Amino acid sequence: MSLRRWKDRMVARLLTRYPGLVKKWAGAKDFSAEMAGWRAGPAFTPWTPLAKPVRECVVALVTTGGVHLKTQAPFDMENPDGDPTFREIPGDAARDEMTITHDYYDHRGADVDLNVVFPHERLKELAEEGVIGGVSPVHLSFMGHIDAELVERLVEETAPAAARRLREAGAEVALLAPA
Amino acid sequence: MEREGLATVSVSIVKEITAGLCPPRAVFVPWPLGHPFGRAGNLEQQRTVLYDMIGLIESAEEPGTLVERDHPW
Repeated sequence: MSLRRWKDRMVARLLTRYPGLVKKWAGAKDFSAEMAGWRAGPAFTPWTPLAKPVRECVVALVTTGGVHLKTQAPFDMENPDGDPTFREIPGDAARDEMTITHDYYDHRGADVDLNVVFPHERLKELAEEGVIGGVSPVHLSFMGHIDAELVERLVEETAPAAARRLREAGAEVALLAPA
Repeated sequence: MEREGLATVSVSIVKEITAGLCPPRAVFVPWPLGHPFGRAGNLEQQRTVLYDMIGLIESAEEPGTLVERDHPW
């Protein structure tokens, strides 16, 4: 492992252990200013009303936790600006088919129990219990470290493509989980 | 995703970021980074957050709705 990747992982562990550092970091950044074309505020927030009860809706998970199938290409850990691509995770993927590639948060808990960032097993249970209408045949996963010029690519290209993919798969509700 | 016709709800683990970006609907949980659905192996925490999200998506009436939960770690 390169020195830079080791450093990124150590910083991630510190941020998990000391939440005050996260607040300080977040308070010093203007995230909305870094997103091209994004204006923050209720008047600018896109909104789709829920068309029917969730017990009748097909539900998808969207994580930024760097989850992917072991057969898929891992997220790019070499580019310091990150990776704006996403991976499709089948709704019936088994735990041992998946792994995490993400140096920018401490995922030792999720390595033990993936549901900590990607509650695929809990969602299946809710479908069996009739709490949701069904599990989407496709979930989506991003790697949440995306910076500099890659933010524009995320906003202009990747995110719209991801949304279309979920819609084509029949998803009606998306549960979003930053890691 | 909302523009594509999906209703969305997000977990928030850093309230300052969520408040600054104003997503359509969000549930804040006071847990460490890397644990939006709680501790490894704690099925009740995981289910609780999912129920919080489902409850909010059914009840929120306007964009930018952020609810805070004080679930114990």
